[in-house]
Amino acid sequence: MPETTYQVTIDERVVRVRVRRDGERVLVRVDDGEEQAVQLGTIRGPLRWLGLGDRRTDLMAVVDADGIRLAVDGLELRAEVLDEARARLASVAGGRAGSHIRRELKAPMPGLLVKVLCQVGDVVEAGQPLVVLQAMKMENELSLPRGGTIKSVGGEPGQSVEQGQVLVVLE
Amino acid sequence: MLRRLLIANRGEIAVRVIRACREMGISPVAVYSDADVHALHVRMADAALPIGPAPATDSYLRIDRILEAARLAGADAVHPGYGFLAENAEFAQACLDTGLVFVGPPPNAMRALGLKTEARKLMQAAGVPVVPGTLEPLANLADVQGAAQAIGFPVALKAVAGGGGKGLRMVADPTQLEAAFRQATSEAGAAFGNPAVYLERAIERPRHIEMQILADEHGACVWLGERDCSIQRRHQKVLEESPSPAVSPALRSQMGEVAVRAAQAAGYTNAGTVEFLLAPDGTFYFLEVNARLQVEHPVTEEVTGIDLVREQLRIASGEPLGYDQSALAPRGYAVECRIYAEDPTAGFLPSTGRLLGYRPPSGPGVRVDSGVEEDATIGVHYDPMIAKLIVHAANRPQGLDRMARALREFLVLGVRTSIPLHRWLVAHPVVRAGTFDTGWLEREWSAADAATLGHADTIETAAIAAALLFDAGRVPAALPSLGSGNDDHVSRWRLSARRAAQH
Repeated sequence: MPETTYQVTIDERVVRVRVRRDGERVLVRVDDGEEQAVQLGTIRGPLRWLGLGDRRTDLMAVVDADGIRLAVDGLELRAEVLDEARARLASVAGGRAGSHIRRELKAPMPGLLVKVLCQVGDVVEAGQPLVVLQAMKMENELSLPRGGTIKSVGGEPGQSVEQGQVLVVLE
Repeated sequence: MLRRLLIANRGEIAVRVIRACREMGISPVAVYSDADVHALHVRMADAALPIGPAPATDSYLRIDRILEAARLAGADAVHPGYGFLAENAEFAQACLDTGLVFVGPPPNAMRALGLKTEARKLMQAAGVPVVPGTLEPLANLADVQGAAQAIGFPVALKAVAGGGGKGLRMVADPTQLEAAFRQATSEAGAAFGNPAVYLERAIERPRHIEMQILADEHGACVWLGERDCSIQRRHQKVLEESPSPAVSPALRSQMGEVAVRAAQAAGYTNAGTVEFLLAPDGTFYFLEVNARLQVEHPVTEEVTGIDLVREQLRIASGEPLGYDQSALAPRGYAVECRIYAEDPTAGFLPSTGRLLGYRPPSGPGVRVDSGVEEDATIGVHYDPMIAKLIVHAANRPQGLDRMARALREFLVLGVRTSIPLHRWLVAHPVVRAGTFDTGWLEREWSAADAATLGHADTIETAAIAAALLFDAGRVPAALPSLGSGNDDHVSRWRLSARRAAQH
């Protein structure tokens, strides 16, 4: 049976998952690990269970505009999945065909833009604070999980912003 | 006994009080702001009355509207919960003036304890140990400098009307005093409308130990054991436990007796908490009295078997306690984690949104006090605590193991929570050893720790699940509010998933 390889990006980490179907059975291999039998069942709503080898875990998953959202072992995670063909294409195109979502810094909540710490043309690093947003009586430094060159900045200090408003875009 | 109780609060504590009402045959009445129309506490009460727009200053802090709601609902008593108006003597007085029973201490006791300098004088006179420092507010920088020299550095500048770490400045040496004085007075003025500050000697590496007390209106007062709340971040408690790993039986009795003395000196009745700082050398000092039910009260309920809200309502209706100190025998160990909608992997950024999935833990020794259910919206207007997870076990190691298990069962989808931080905490060798102080978490915690919160097997499980969902193209569509404006994106995503499945 053919095997499909997926490149899964979970927050900052990239994991390769190979999925092989053998009749009714589904087998997975993560990075260079052992191949294991796997089962994914639905309980209700977003609640599911994953049986992997001899361990079983309850988890939650839904898809939204940005990818798959999961809750596993008390963590809430965001996953993006590309099959290998697309992942290869993405690397040839210089990463452009990957997700455009992570190039945009969106306001995670409504608030007041207190500071803008970057300008168009600046080269910034992953995790570098780009703006400071005041919400819930706290000042929050917002950054992006990847670095790059600032393409545009969507707000000025003192301005109120809506949830989801794009604040900074990388090239 | 009370007949109809208005709960002047929201969220988990409103739900908690409603449950006590149901067990006692009291009819619970809720109030709500525009943001809480669909909240759990509103649905659970017999009646619910709107009290204004979402901002707390226009709703949950409006004494006039709450009293009007109590009148309309025919309530005979008011429970303030914690936060909002809970320690507002003016509110307590206004309740009494309109003929309502206020479930809490008398307004005079609140006033006596509300200003820290007044409370310190009262306590010192009653033989309660207070931290060495000034007994009067300090008017100007010269007075501050003089007092600091007399006390000896390091010193702590504190707001007279203070609480929650606002207007609090630790000062290591004389050169920092002027800036600290300016900051503390301006912060205290902004937070409490009272800029006055006073000085205390800084107790280094203290533990925060607090003693629960219950006092009836007939002179009986008992202590119910301590809670250790030393694990804090930005002066907010993160984890609370009882008994404290740092308190011996002899020290416990001593602190308990001092707490009772403190309560009686202030003419206190109902449930209250006397907070102490415990120095590494075993001496302890009075910090303040929290004249209300505490967030972490379930910890004491689990080890004593006493329902504190029930006791509050009994005391408020004039009943005697009916038992004395010798009847109280704490059993086992309890610990609480406050689950906040904050992302510990991203600088504790508040996380808002809809709870797409919510599956709290259950099973032996597990209690979840929460004001939310699946589909609830976590907004920006109020405290971001979504649940309190409390476990009870035979001893501390088993309790921490049980907490680790329960945290792993706790699934929340849609907002990020502090659960990963709690998992890190209960596994940490220092927490296991019980050797922390109030500054430990902030000294210990770093961005590097944040990056390790996703354990390798958790990431592997998530990656496999995501790949299989993509592979099968069977991820359920996003709930409507989430995908708004992005339907095109979602359908392309699903299309590519189907294509992948055909390989």
